[in-house]
Amino acid sequence: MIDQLAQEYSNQPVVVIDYHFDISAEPQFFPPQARWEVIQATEAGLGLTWAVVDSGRLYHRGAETTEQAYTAYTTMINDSLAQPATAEIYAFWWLDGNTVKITATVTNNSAITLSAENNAGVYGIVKENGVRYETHTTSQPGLAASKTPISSLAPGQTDTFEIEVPDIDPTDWDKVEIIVLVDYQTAPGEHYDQLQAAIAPKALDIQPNLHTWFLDDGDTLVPGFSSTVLGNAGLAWIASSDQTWLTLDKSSGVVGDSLGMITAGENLIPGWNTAIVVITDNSATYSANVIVNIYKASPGEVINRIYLPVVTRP
Amino acid sequence: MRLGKKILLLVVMLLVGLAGAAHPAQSQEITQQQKLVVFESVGSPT
Repeated sequence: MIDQLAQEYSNQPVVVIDYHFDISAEPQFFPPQARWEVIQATEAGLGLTWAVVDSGRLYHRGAETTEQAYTAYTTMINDSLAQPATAEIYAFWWLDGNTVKITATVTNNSAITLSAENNAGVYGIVKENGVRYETHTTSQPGLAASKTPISSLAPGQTDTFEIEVPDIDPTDWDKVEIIVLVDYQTAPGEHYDQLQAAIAPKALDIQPNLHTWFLDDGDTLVPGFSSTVLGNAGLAWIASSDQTWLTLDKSSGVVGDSLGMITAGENLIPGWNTAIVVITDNSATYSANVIVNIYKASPGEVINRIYLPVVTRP
Repeated sequence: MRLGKKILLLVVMLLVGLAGAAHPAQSQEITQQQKLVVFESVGSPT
């Protein structure tokens, strides 16, 4: 059902996050405390399921049938889609060890002053897309979240906030998505409301981040290939390769540039050869890697290739 | 009104209309960041 919702709204600005919660067994993944406090504020007591949009402006505490749940959830999402955003968020993230670090610039376009008095905060939520943990019943797991309180942000004001979400250990970093949102508590003991949310891109990224080639016995030529550096507009970067057989067509550039890679096939050893290209910004705060794998056949070895038919429409 | 004046008036109205189309009033919706909906669930059965 939750996966179905995620699929059905995949072409709309909707993010679906499912937290693990099990009252009958010791949970391995607790709901992130920062979000649990927000969700709990909707209503006291336990329910079959807790589902919220806009940090609890609309919520549902469980349905007897899948049809009832589907109707309730889609009504909530559609209602939320019809609401205007009352804040603007521009955020980006990077990795420091296993800590996700986020910088978010928020403009308060609402009529409410966000402050400690109304528990206002900027949240970073780490989600891993399309992975089904044993502790979860969907492929939309929310792994962790943190809140940075807003001390004061009056209507019309803009400020920048730093959020850190430590101890992230996903199965695949390429599937990690960082959601940033701003909310506040509408009144003491009452539900929260959300002004806006955004999916934060990486401060520095490179795609594709994996190249794999096979070289037949006697071949030394690997066709030139490249990756494109993505991230914060105008950010300068430097790049280096950790193997002498892989050289780069440039050692520095700015976001948006492509990075060409050239292989000296004669310097490869039989079997797998792996090189890692590291790009960093000038302050070495942000970094991204490209992995290059080349399998060089041993003398006399034949690499078998399977050619799959490709059908295209004219 | 003579035919010539009518044609002149029509041309002037057309030009005014085109100028308006080239510089439409900017609505608030255009500049506003699109809302992103976050649906969060806990203890979902499926």
